[in-house]
Amino acid sequence: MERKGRLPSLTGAGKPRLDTAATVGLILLALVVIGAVLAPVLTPYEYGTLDTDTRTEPPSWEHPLGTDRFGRDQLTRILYGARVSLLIGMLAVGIAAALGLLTGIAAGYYGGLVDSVLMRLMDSVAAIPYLLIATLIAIFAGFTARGTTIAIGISLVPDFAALARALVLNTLGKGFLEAERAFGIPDSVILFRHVLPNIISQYIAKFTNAFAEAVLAVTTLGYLNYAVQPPYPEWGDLLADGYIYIVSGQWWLTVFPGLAILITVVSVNLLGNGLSRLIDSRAGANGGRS
Amino acid sequence: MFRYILKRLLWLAFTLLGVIFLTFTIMYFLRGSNLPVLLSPDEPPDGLSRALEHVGLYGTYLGDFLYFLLRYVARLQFTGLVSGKLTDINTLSTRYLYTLISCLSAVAVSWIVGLPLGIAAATRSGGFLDNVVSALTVGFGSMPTFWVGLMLLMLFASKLRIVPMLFVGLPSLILPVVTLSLSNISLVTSAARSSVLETLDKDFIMAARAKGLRESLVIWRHGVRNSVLPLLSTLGSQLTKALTGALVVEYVFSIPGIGRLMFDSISNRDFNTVLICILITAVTSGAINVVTDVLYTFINPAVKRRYE
Repeated sequence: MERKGRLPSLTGAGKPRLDTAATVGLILLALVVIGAVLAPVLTPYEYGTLDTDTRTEPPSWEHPLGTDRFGRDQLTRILYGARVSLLIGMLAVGIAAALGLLTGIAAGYYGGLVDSVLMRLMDSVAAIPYLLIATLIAIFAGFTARGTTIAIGISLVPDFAALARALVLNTLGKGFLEAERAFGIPDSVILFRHVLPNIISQYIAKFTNAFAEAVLAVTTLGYLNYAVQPPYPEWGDLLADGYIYIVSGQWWLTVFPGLAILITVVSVNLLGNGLSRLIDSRAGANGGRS
Repeated sequence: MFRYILKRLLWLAFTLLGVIFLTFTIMYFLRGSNLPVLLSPDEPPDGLSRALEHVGLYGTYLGDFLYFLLRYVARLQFTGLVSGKLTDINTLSTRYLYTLISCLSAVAVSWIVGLPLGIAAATRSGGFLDNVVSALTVGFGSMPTFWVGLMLLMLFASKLRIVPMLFVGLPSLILPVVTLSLSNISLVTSAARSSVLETLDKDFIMAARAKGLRESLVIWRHGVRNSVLPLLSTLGSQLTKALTGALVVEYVFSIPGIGRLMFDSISNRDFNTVLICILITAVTSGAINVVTDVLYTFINPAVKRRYE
C-alpha cells in the first residue's frame, strides 16, 4: 500500500506501466480536454454568430466539419460543446463519489440495520434510471445544466456506494481495525486515518468508468434538450438539430458530433481499463496487500 | 421455500415503495414549501386528509407521502398536483407493451450474440479474435444509444430505404431493437469474457486439466458452466439500462411507447402524464431488478441450499 493511497504514478519507471491502449486513451482524452479549454484560441469563429451566407455547407477548408442550418461553424460548436460534457461529467462523478463514499463507509463500517436500510435504499435509487430523475427535476425546477448534473450524479451513487462498502468490508476483514477499536480509538479517527487511505486508490479507479457513463448520459439528456439552452452548443443538442437533415443528406451534422462523443468516451474507457489492469497487477505484485 | 418467496415479495414491496418514496422526495423538495404536495388549494379536505389529521400526521413529511401514495399514486392520476389533463390509462397499455417488447427483446438478442462472443474471446485470450472483440466492445460500448439509432436510421431508412421512416406497427421495432442490442451486446460480451477468464484461472480447472480431460470438456463443462451464474447478476442493471435506452430510442424512431408519450407530454406541459410515465417506468424497473435478483438466487445452488 502506498502512503496516502495515491494512484500509481502513470510514468513510474521500473514499475508496471500503462499499456499501449491506455496510453492512446490518455493522449486522446488530453486532446479533447485541450480542445475544450483552448476552444477560443483554436478557432476563428464564434459558437453563436449566425451567418446566412454559409448555411448547411459541407466540410471545406474554411469549415472542416461543415456548417449548421444557421451557418455556424460546426468544429467550433463541437469544441465548445466539449466543455459542457466534460464539466457536467466531472461534477456528476464528484457528487456521486462523495455521496457514495459516505453511504458505503457507513454501511460497511456500522453494518447491521444501518447496512440493510442504506443498501436497500441504494437498490431503489439504482432502479430509477437517470433519465427519470432528470425528467422529474426538469418538470419541477426547469431544464438546467444544474438539474442534469444532479440527476446524473444521483444515479451514479449506488455503484460508488457498493464499491466503497465492499472495500471497507475488505479492510475490516484484515483485523488491525479490531485492534484499534479495542484500544478505544474513536470511530472518526479509524475511518478517516485508517480506512479511507486504504481504500482510496481502488475507489478512484472507478472514476473513469463512471465518467464515461456520465458523458453518455449528458449527451443523451442534451439530445432530449434537457441540459443547456441554445445558443450554447452541446453535443447531444447538435445531434438533435441534425436529426431533420438525415433524409436530405447533410450527413456531417449527425456524424461529426457523434464521433466527438465516441472519441471522448472511448478514450476514457481505454484509460480506465488500463488503470484498473495496472492497479490489479500492483495488487498482485504486492502479494495482495493493497 | 415458502418463507423464501414471502421474504422476496416483501422485498419487492419495499423496493417499489422506495422507488415511489424517492420520486416523492425529489418532487417535495423541488416544489418548495409555498406549494405543499398534500393538498392543492382548490381541493376541499377529504376523508383521507381528515384521517391523517386524526393520527397526527397531517402536514408532516410522512403524512404528505401517505397522502401522495393513497390519493394520487393509487389512482395513477396526478391532476390537481401538477398541471395537465386527465390521462386515459387504457391507452397506456399498448404503449407500455411497445416499450417492454423493445427492452426485453433487445436484452435477449444481446445475450444470444454476446455470450458466445465473450466465451470465444476468453478461450482465445490475447489472440486475434480476442483483440477484435475487445476493440468492438469498447467501441460500441462508448456510443450513445440514440446516436447509433440515428446512424442506423440514416443508413437503412434514408440511404437504402429498406425500412420506413414512419411507424407501421411491430416491424418498425426491428431497428430500435437492433440499436438497443448493439450497446448491450458490448456489456454482455465484456462481462462474459472476464467471467470466463476468471473461472479458467481457478484451481479446479487446473485439476480438471491434470486429470487429463479433453480441453473442450474443461472449457465447456467446467469453465463456461461456472461462469454463467455470476453473469446473471448483471441482468438487472442491463434491463434498467435497456429500459432507459428504450425510452430514448422511441423518441428517435417515433415509436408510440411510454418514452415517446413522456417527451411529447413534456413539450405539451402535460405534467400529469409525465408523472404517470415516470412512475410506471420506475416501478417497472424496480420490479425487474427484484425479479432478476430472485431468479439469480433461485438458480444459484449455494443460496438455494440455505433455504431448503
